[in-house]
Amino acid sequence: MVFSSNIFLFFFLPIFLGIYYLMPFKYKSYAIVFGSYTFYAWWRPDFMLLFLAVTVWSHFWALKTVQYLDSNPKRAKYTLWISIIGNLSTLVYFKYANFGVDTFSNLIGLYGLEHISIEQIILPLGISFYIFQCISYNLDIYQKDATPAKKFIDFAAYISLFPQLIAGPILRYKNMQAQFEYRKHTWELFSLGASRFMIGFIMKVLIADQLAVYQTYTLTTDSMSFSESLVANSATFMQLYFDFAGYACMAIGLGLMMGFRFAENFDHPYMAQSTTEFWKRWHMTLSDFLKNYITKPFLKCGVGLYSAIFLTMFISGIWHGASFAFICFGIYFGITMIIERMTNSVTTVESPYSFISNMRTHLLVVYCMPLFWTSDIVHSLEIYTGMLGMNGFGNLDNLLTVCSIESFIIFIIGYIWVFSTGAMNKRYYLGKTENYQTKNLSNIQTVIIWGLFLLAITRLAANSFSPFLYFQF
Amino acid sequence: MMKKNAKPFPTLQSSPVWSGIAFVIMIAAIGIYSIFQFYGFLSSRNNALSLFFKGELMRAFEKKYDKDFVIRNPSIEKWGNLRFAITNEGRSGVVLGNDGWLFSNQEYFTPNAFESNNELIREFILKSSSKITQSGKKLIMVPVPMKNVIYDRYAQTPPAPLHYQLDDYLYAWLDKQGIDYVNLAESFDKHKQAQQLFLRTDTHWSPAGAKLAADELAKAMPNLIGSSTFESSSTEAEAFTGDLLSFVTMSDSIKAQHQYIDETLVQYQSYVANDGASLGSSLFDTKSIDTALVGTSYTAIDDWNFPGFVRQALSKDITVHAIEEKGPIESMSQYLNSEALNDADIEYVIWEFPIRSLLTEKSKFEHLLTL
Repeated sequence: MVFSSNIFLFFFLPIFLGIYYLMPFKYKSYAIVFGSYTFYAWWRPDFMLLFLAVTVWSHFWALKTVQYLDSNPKRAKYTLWISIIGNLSTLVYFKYANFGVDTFSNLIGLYGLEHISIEQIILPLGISFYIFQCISYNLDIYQKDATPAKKFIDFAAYISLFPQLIAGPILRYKNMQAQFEYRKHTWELFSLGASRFMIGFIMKVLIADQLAVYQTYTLTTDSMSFSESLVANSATFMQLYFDFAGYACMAIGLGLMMGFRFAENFDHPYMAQSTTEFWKRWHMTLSDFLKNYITKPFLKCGVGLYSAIFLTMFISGIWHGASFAFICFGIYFGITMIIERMTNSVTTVESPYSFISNMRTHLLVVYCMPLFWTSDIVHSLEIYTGMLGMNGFGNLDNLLTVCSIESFIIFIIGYIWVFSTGAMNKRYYLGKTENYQTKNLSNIQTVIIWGLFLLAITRLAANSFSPFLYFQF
Repeated sequence: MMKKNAKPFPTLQSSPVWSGIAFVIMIAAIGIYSIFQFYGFLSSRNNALSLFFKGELMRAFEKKYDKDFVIRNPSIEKWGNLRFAITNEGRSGVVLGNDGWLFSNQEYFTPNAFESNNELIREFILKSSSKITQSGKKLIMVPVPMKNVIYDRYAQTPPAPLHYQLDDYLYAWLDKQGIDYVNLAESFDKHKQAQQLFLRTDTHWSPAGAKLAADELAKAMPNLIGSSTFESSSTEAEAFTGDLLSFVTMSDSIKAQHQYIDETLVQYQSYVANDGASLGSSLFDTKSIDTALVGTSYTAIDDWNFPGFVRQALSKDITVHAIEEKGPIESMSQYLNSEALNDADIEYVIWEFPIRSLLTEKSKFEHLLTL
């Protein structure tokens, strides 16, 4: 079940919100756990047990850590490591076992030894996200940034919170703890949440879903020409952005409907003027997590800045997927970020705007994407032959034949959307305006959003199922 | 990420309260409808609990819910109308023609690696021919011309120049390799005005096209002709919905205005003429079958009766090995890897091969190339 589906919007959500608001505050976490586990069970009921096991494991060791934190710091550290190793082992097993065995098997095959194989392991939905949140919980408790949840049900609700369960934003417990103890439920907050949800829904259904054909084209067309591959990969990246950012918007909106304020996950990444800045605008909660739990500890241990950046992005690549292509994806950004530091071309959201820097960054990101969506080095190289012009400049005839003029129009509309809203965003950061698009929605703006939302519902009905891309992380 | 004195993160701060109230009213109203739908769905399932634990129950409900969703069909039509009005397109997969003609977008695609793809396809044809010869049989190819080349007068977008040359490229190469084939391009071009050789709303040929192909096969390969007599009788003309019509989702009035509507199809059935019985039902027929027909949906689908017309044209029975939706390479690959290849009675293998298959991307067939 995904947010952009009839069944979620018109069956699950009204029933859940009905139960949630009928419950007195002290029982709302029970409603969240019940609703979230039902949401998760929609995919595979048997994997709920793993989910519960990880939750119990993390909370148990968090309590143990706190028990020894002041009296026996060494023991407290052991309990922390036990909890992290247990969680990471679970993640490694489900996400990387097949990749590891296949790689090892291919290696020994080179020496004439017999190949080994294991049965395909199903990747539980959202495992990377909830394991990361569990690790963040144990670390924050050890570092005394937070205290263990007073009630297990609150912790279970935090981990299972369905709006962010399968694709983030990654929520740090220290930022959520107080909200489980007290949060307001007002019509203003609910309306704000409804508007965020509707905007995300529009992004996902009206833009992202219509660009899915370009990903199929990229993955199934051999020897693409330069023009084809550039347009197809740009459109596929746009699909990824509207899909993921739209989902995050819906997740934040759903959180607001329940009185929670989640961390934002996107800040107009199309306006980035360096890859360093890109990762501060794209999947911001992941960047934040990696900075706090990977980069900073590396620096503390005396690892140099460039090495820390490289290792962080390497780990980011591995987190995204179990293949050498994803590792290269991480390394690619590690290298660009180091070069930016060396050449003094790191930018921030407040840096003055340069069209050339913006376009250069956009191209650097688009050129990395074949590694991301093929998750296969050899296939990526085939796409790169096209992107580097080795198959000729070509034309867009095949692309328009297969993907349709309609989707190309949506692609253009997508660019207008990202750069017009991005321009306002940039002006805001440069201090040229206090406003940015949709800061305080007027009645007219709300009517427009409603119009587009209803249009998106009809589009969804016409198109039926549309899968998210970040599910299997 | 953000410095302490940096500007606050620019995110939506407020929204009119009426919007939240309207949202609640909308989901509550449709939510009540949905609960009734779910109750009805559960009542119709005996093993709901076991299906739930397998993860199948809710997915089945979701599928049914989407299919029966009250605004689904009107939405499909309205979006179809909008798409057509702005871009003059149907759904991705179809290319709209004039006078109600529809074409598959496969026929408008020219692979960038056309030459190297064709090298691979030719290699496969040679290997197939070699394997068939080693089994004591002879290969005869029947390349089926492209619909949008034969009926380009109905195409709003003309095919690429290369597409007009595909038949000749293939024929020249087959001549060079000494592989027998039937030149359908010439006969289809000659008869296209007098008869409708392809269906207007379908990717396939019409019964008239299938019969012409069978007759041309017999003319080109007189040595294949046997001594039985087969006849074909027609049924009443019936409304026929071509496979391409499902990609045309406008409202009925717009479809009717542009003639993207059902066409009539007269179906045929072939039988042994001596006793008038249907095909394969003669218990006393002791002649062994010496010809096999390998093909795609042009052969497999009974609506155009290609195998029946081949029997009639060749005056003998044949065995048929055809699969739909997989293309000629997969159908031949399956035949060559089956027991049927070892049938010592078979002397001739006719391979029905749509020319548009030469425009297929390598990734779709390269896994089939090893024989």
